[in-house]
Amino acid sequence: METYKTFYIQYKDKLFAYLMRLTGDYQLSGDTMQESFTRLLSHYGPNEQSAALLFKIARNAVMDNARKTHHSCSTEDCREDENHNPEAMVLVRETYRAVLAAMQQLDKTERDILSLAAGGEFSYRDIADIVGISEANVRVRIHRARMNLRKKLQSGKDDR
Amino acid sequence: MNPMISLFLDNELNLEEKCLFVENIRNDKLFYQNSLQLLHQEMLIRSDVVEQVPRVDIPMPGRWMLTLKNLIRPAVLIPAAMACIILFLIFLPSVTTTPPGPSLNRFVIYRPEAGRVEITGSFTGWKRVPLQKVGDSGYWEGTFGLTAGEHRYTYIIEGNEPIADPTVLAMEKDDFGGVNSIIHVADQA
Repeated sequence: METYKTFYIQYKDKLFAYLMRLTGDYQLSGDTMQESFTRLLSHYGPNEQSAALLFKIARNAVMDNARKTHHSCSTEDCREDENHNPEAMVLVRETYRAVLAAMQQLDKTERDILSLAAGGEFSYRDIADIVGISEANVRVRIHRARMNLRKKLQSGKDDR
Repeated sequence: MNPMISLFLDNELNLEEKCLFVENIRNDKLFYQNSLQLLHQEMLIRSDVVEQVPRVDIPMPGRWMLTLKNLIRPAVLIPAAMACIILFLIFLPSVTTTPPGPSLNRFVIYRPEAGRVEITGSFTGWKRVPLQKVGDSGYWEGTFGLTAGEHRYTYIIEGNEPIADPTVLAMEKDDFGGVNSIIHVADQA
């Protein structure tokens, strides 16, 4: 169990950062982090310490949640509420708020793979496996994501 | 723009491609400027997102059994805790330090009935390290180099029963429902 604790300490912050980049939601990221570590432990036991598996579980949980939210929330007001949580944004470092806002404007897959790559933990092959696309596709889209993020960050600066 | 910069950022270039990348940087001013911009952007993306990662609760299988075990043994725990406090007070002045490096700190716990006692904490990289039995005294001890600052740790009895240091008042719950003791090592410099 102690080795699982070491694994948890090693990946807790990294997983949370990934979830924040992916969802932009502090509360959801915390809940998903807890759910992912718990699922990994209960389904695979304390000796299964694959970071790729942990992130895959976390990503699937986010996707499931998005599907559920989409079903239960279809009005325009509801969508606005999802993306606007000023209390939670206070917990985000000031220098990172613009990055999170820009990330949320990216295409879903681009945001997905860039969020994984930004952790510096996984190769393109790992990312392809986690996201379920080809490695060649990751190579192309990750660069496109970075270029698009640069545009969004730039236009965010121009707006201010 | 040339996607090579992303491969560079993600350590996906082989040696030949790295040569080409360096040549491009030298020969193409726009490529150089774009690469530098994306490098700065990447530093920003990879920086810390939040001030504090939230505390969560990861349920540990079998924890209720440990709690029950503790409850039915107060007769053992209370004298043991008192003995630990006395022993800690005896040993406290003898803690040796070797400034400016990590100071040596001795950890002692009274567990005469135990066959194995380990310690895990921030100073062991949260790896379990076995403590040594002190003769037939019932005490277990270990000495570790601790850098200045705050450290967290817990003892583990028989490989499965975590127990906070009864001689240390400062404690905090960890994310697994356990309790870590907190000590502060003063800067020796």
